[in-house]
Amino acid sequence: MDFFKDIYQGFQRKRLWKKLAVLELKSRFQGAFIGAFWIVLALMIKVGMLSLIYSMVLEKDIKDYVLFLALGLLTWNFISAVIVTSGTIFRKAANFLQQMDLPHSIFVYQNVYREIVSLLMYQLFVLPLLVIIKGWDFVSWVWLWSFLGYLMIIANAFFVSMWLGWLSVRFRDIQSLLASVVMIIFLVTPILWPPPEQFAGSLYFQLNPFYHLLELIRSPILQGVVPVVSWYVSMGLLVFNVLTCGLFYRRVKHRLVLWL
Amino acid sequence: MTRICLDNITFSYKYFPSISGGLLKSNAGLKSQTALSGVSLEINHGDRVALLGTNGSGKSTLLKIVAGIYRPEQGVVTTVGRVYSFLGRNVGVMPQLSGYDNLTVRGLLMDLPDEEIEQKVQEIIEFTELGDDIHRPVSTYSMGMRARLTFGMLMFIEADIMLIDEGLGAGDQFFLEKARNFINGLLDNSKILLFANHSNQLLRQFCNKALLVDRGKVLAFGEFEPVLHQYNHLKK
Repeated sequence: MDFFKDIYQGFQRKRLWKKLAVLELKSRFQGAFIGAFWIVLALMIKVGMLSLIYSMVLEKDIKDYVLFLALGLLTWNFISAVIVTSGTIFRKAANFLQQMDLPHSIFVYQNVYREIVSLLMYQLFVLPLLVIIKGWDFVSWVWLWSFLGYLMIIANAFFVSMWLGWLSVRFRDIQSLLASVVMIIFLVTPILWPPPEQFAGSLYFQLNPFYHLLELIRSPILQGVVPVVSWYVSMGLLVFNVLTCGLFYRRVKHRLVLWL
Repeated sequence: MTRICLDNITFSYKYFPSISGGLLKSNAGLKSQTALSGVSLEINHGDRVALLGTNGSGKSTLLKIVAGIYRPEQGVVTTVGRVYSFLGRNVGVMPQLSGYDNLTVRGLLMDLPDEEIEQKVQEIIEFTELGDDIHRPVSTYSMGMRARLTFGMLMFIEADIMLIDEGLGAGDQFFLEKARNFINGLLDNSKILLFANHSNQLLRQFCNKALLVDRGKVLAFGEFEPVLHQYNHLKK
């Protein structure tokens, strides 16, 4: 129960974590000419360059490919940013945690909130892109499932951040591992390339939870289909992540500050 | 009624000896250093306690235990009243942010309402005489300005129990005098102060009792002067 209390109390401190997240974003782009717009611009450049090359290499229609890539990439950017930064959540907060007794979840909210701001900014690029390429007729109610998909990804991101955050403070190896593991996942998950049709049911994809998380967003928008299996997998993931946090919370709560 | 009660507190730090790792077992070679052993204490309302002890004697650990930051391995800590901890001179100051942002974050950490934070921040800016410099990144501050800002953070106090570790003692002579007057004004009989500092003059001014800690044990607790005397002898 302490665990849920922590999450509740952390949420109550939303003025604090929102402020910390915004300050963090601001300081990241301090002195930059176009400031936080870099978040969108970086994605635009990436999608632009990769679309040119990969639509040629994979012999895909560039219009379809660019949408597939943009949606996949922006979702992946969110997922990978949350995973990579979760290693530093509590270390960055060491100053505060060593000063007073605070709910751990404050800093998890901070981390996820910051990435949600980026995610919203990505939409400034991708939503107009969808309409420009496919026209207004393409917009459908099924897209609401993608919105729900984002909520599911965010919920997973929250709990993953928490336990990965703890783990990286306890075991210093984790932080070094995260960046390389994320890179490998990026390469083996269908983000740059759609899974070839004859292998779509292959266990390589079906057992990859990241593939399912991406499908939550891509499938309703690109195919107009609700990805039922992917929803089951994501819910299973959520249960796993919540349980992992809940099980370890009591052991970690008062030791974390000693590991920092 | 405000009160701190420590019952048979034992606490030790775990650490890796210098550079370790690569031993396939992350806690291989983990050492343990006892910081407090069997500490029992009762501090009541109106007590302004000077924490005395040489470096590494366990003063800061004791403060962190009372603040609830560390949980003791053994024993029970009871605190009645709202605790405010201010531990370390630069702790909690983020140098890349402006003084203003730092103060706002501090207010949010204390969970004060927005209007109150704004009001306090304005008071603090006036008190610390930082003026427009408050909007500059702290990394560009001089040592004295940093000290003023740090003291400003201390001014958010809204608590019954104050735990201060080395929070004062920097800044120029005029500011220090001002700071002392401020603290004196805060301390009425309903509050408890636990104050660790190496300046006997400061301690004498603020405290009516003293607690002498040495190697994790309480050697003496009582009236200020006799305990200070004992501490001075300990050093010789």
